[in-house]
Amino acid sequence: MRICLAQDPPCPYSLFGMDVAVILMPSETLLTESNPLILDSLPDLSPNDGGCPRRARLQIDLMLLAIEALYLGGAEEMLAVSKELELESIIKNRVAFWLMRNTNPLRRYTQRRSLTIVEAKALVAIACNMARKLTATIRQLLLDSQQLRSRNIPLSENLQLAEYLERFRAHFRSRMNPKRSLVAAYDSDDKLNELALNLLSKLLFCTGTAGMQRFWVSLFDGEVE
Amino acid sequence: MTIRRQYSLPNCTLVLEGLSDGSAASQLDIRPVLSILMSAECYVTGLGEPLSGGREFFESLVRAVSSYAQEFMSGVHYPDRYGPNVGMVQLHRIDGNLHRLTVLPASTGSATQIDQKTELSAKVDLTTVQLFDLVEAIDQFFADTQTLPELSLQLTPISKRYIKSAEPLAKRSLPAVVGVSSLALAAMAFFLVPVPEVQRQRDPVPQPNPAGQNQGTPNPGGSGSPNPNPTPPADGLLPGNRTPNTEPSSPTPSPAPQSEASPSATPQSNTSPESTPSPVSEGLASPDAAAVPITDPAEIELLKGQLSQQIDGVLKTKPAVDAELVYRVSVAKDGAIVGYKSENSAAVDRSEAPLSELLYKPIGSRPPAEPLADFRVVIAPGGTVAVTPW
Repeated sequence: MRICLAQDPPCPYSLFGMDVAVILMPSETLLTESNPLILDSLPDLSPNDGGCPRRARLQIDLMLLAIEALYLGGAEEMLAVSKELELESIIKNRVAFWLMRNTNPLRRYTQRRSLTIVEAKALVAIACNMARKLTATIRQLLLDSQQLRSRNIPLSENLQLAEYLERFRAHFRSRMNPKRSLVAAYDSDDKLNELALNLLSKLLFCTGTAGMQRFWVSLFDGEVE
Repeated sequence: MTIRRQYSLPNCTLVLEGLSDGSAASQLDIRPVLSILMSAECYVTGLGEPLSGGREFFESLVRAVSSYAQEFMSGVHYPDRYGPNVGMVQLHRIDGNLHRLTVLPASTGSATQIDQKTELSAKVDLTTVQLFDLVEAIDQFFADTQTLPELSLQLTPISKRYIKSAEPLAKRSLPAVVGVSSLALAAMAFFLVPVPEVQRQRDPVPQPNPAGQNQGTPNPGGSGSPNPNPTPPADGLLPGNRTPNTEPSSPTPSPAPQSEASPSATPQSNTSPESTPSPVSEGLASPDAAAVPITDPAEIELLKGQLSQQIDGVLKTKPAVDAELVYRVSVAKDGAIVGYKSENSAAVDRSEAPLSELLYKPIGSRPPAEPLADFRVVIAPGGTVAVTPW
């Protein structure tokens, strides 16, 4: 859609006039077809061969967690998306996917192994693909939160927003190891809400034309030589 | 012919106007390449009039916004992401949800003047959603190969070096200081701990009981080294081979424990007149402490028979004793009497024990810790001998 827009500049573009499912861009399907892939559009930035930096593993998992909170059945949908993107060779099954996400150092069942670069790319591709599908929801929630804040109304007033925040808090608390100092720092609802909204705005940036590249590169900020 | 390109998003519209460079290929194209930028306008909701400028403004805008988007996503702040050249357009974070975009006048664009409010040509606070629309408009421009193809999206992560140097020196050196000082403390603590004494056992024979016997000898144990006292039983069994160390007054030539076993001690002991009382006690004592007692009742019974036979044989040739004599006799497994000790005053008074003949004379050496059985031998005045296990 957006490529078509660029080819025909004067065509007006309104995000909310469109069906959310249609937002999938031709450019992306093109990448998917060009297999393996979608992942080719992401540069290799690994600082060393030891896999992904700690912050990257943490960030990827949190983004996926936010998507799950946005969308009931998000975990199932992620597996479906991985098939859609032909990433089955990397994410073979549910357990492999779970293990990959558990490379997040804050998880209760955190894995000792690191995340390989290819696996990280696959997770980033899934996250961005899901985020694109959820663009309308993400935008709406962010606009709502902004309005509520500017009027000093508690975020829980908005039903959708309250639901997202509550689900995120529940996911975070049930899956992260409370003994880690970083997790212990998020001891109140307010702090977790802040984190949830921060992740939501990052998800918004993932929905963009270059969102996947931007997200990927941002994971390595301050980690490369 | 002027070419106009527009990238529209809900909160932001980017309009570029320019010319094609007029090469034949691009002329024929349906959508010619915009290669010369004349003006750029950026409409942002909430801002009355668009931000506008020429190529310099546009390049600066594109770079600042793209860089800030990365900073927003990674949380790593680095203003000079794309070179030290501070452009006309700058973005600063106000809080998690507000981002200030400032545009400096074209001619005087420099970092120092951002403080002087009068110099600003525009200032707008963008919400995150507005910022995203601006980023997206620019990303769409980057993705469009027909508009200024020389400008493309270049994303590179920030180097580790910058992040490290951003931390204050004190914070960076803290771990090193803590490490060095704890090492120093540990070194001092270990320095105060005494050096452990090395105790090397040279002989598996446990130390013979020196009580009451070695009091006169300078006890090597006092000097911190254990006394392995490698006295072979043979040494103590030979009456002629006595060492003087049972005598409290006798000066021992060398305090080393080996002196007992060394030949140099032997002539010394030979010259010593009082060698009589020592053989028994020492001969008995050292195997006593060292040796394992024989516990098998059948074996003890057998040795008892042998012993009474031997004593009977000897007593036949001797005159009858006038008082009851009691001896403690140590017998080895093969029936040899390796030592004896007078147990009552009559026996002690008797200068020559009837058993002295029976005493085993070692040829070579006996095993140092051979098992022994102790018997109580009572020689009655009538000439009868009673042998009972001790």
